[in-house]
Amino acid sequence: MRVIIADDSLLFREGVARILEEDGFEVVAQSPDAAQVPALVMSHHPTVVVTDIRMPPTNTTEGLELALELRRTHPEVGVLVLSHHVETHYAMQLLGDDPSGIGYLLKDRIDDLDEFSSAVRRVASGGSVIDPLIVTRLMGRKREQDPLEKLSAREKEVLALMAEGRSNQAIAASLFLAEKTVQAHVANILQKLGLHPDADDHRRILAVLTYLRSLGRS
Amino acid sequence: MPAPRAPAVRVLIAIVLGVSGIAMAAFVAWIHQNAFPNTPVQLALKLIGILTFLGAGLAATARHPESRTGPLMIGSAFAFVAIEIQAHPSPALQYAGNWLGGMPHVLLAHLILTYPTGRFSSRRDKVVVTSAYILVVGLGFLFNHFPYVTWLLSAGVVLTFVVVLLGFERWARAKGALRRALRPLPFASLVFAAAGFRNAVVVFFFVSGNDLVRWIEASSWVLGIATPLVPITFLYGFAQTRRARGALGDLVVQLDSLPETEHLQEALARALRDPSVRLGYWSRETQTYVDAEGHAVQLPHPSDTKRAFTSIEHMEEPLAVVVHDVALIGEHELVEAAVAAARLALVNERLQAEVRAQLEETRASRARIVDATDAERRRLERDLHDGAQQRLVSVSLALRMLQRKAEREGIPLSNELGNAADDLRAAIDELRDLAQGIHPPILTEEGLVPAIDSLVERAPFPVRVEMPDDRLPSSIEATIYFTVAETLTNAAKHSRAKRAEVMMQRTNGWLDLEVWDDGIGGALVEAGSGLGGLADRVAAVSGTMTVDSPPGGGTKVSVRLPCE
Repeated sequence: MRVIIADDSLLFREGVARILEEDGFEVVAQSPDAAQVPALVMSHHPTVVVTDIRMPPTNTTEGLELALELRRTHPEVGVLVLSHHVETHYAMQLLGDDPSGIGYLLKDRIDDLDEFSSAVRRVASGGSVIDPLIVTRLMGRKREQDPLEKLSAREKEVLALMAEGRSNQAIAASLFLAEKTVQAHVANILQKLGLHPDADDHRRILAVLTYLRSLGRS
Repeated sequence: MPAPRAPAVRVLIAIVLGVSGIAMAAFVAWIHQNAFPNTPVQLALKLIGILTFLGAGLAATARHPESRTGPLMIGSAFAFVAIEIQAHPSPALQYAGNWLGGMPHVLLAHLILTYPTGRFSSRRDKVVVTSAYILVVGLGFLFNHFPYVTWLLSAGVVLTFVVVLLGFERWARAKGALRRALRPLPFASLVFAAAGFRNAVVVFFFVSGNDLVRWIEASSWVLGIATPLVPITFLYGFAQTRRARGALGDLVVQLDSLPETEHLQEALARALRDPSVRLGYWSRETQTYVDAEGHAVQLPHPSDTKRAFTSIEHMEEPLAVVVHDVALIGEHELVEAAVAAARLALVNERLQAEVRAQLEETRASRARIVDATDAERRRLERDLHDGAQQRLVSVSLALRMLQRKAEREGIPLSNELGNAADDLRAAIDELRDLAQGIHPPILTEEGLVPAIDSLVERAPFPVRVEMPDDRLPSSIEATIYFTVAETLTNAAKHSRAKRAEVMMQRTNGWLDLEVWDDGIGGALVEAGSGLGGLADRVAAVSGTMTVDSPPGGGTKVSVRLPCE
């Protein structure tokens, strides 16, 4: 898997490059800003781009705009956006109406090296990754009438993992359950929340996040 | 000035004088009918003369009780009787008439030299008039004992001409309002001179035995018609000063209601009775005079024969200039008074403008401080992000890589490295929260709704939010954001709230924010407290903040900001 890393800190780029290379990725290019990345993508044909959200020149949302641009120009390239602050607003903007090959993680998640590598791999192979903190916030948001109370603790765990963008197989592995059991939980959850049952793994993250986000908002 | 009599007493005196004046006129008519039957026109002229003096005297006394001119005119009316009783059959009355026959003439001299106050303005005038009184009262009886007292008559003629000269001089020298008041003097002096001249001619030529009956008759006609006009012109003079004063009074009244600048010019034009009046305001910036529209006002050259100007100063600094007709230079008092009244309005206006400017400056400087604080917060957040946070994350990455290497190579440092990395992770979390609290990047980047939503996601109770998704000036957005953040934090920390609401709406250039929670209330706005700081911040963007927080009744923080 070919990776391009964009971040204005050389130290950070080198660090990320080293872990990814250790884990079998091929880092084909690095960029200190967002502007050079489209050209690098054209010439290096990466599988995935890992980018910081804040980069020169304005240090605001350059990485986010880069991701949205690459979605249009190179939908086959996965983009993982890293940020010091995670905001639901940005996550939803990134996912747009096609969540495949998109990830949004808190930058410090990187200190769990294996988890980070696996997130890059999921995005590279067309999956979605949403930071657990966002999911925690969305699920933890206080509501006057909370439909999530209809869910069992286990179902809530499954829902959170769904919202992070994990597949049934991954959820099963993570919760030490049989995949069939997870499938049953998923069906129950979708039914209890009134969501469409036949959303596939890729699409259901959007349905779940949109649903969670709409809860409690007037 | 003597204390004015009570109005009732004045009215009574006026009635008594009026009734006795009319009785006297009837007496005169009776004498005339007996002495000169079949001369109704002459009689009419006499009566008109007497009654005009009486009426004008009463009118002047009523309107200007402070002036002695009125009593002098009334006295003149009664003095005419002295001439008429010369024709009365009673020898005693004839004696008195011959004695005091000069009295009307002396009273007229008194009037001319003292009008309009009725008081002498110079010792010289007083000496002349007193001499005339002494001649008539002290020596007039001699006419009863000698056919013609030539030297006495000559003295009378000399005094008459002195009075005429002094009267003209008074008029010629007077300026401004006084000159307007003295307009009747030349006419009165002429009539007075003509009467004196006629009497002198009559006496001297009778002495020399000439037959001048026709001339005497003709001059009687002229004087008979001219005499009643004298008191009327005096009344006219009074009316003139009154009109000028009235216009000034109007000006002051108009200025009291602080007119628009153009109205001040119009008010001045009316008060000065000069429609060409232009008012120029001193401009400190350009050091010139400009009109209400800001156009330069040209000052006429001192040699200009049509226009002149009067400048208005305040605290030794030019304030304004009045450009007016050159004729007004003579009306010094009037212009002075009008300018004084205008100065009041202008100084008031300037003070108000200065206070407004200072308030505006204070407001602007507070707003600048808030803007600077916001910019500083943003810079601090960025520095933390680009510096410390970034480095710490890189270090944490390095630690984890060391930890992984230690594990793979069986070096027994793995746990220590792992613990160090965990501590670092906690430090990074704290730093992130700190940076977020200093200034949330999402507020600048995405605006109020996502920023408030991000706050609300983390609140420990449900928060209902209703606000329009518009971008606003950054100082307003920051004010709203920090108000909501501080209020929700207070509600979470102190008020045991179970729910809260954030409502914001924009109407007619105002932005209204209400943050409410159902907690225990009792929140106080104190200097140094979170709410106190918010109130200052809101005031700095010209807004108002009210906190309604009765104990046990929840807390409602309302903020209203001007927002176009």
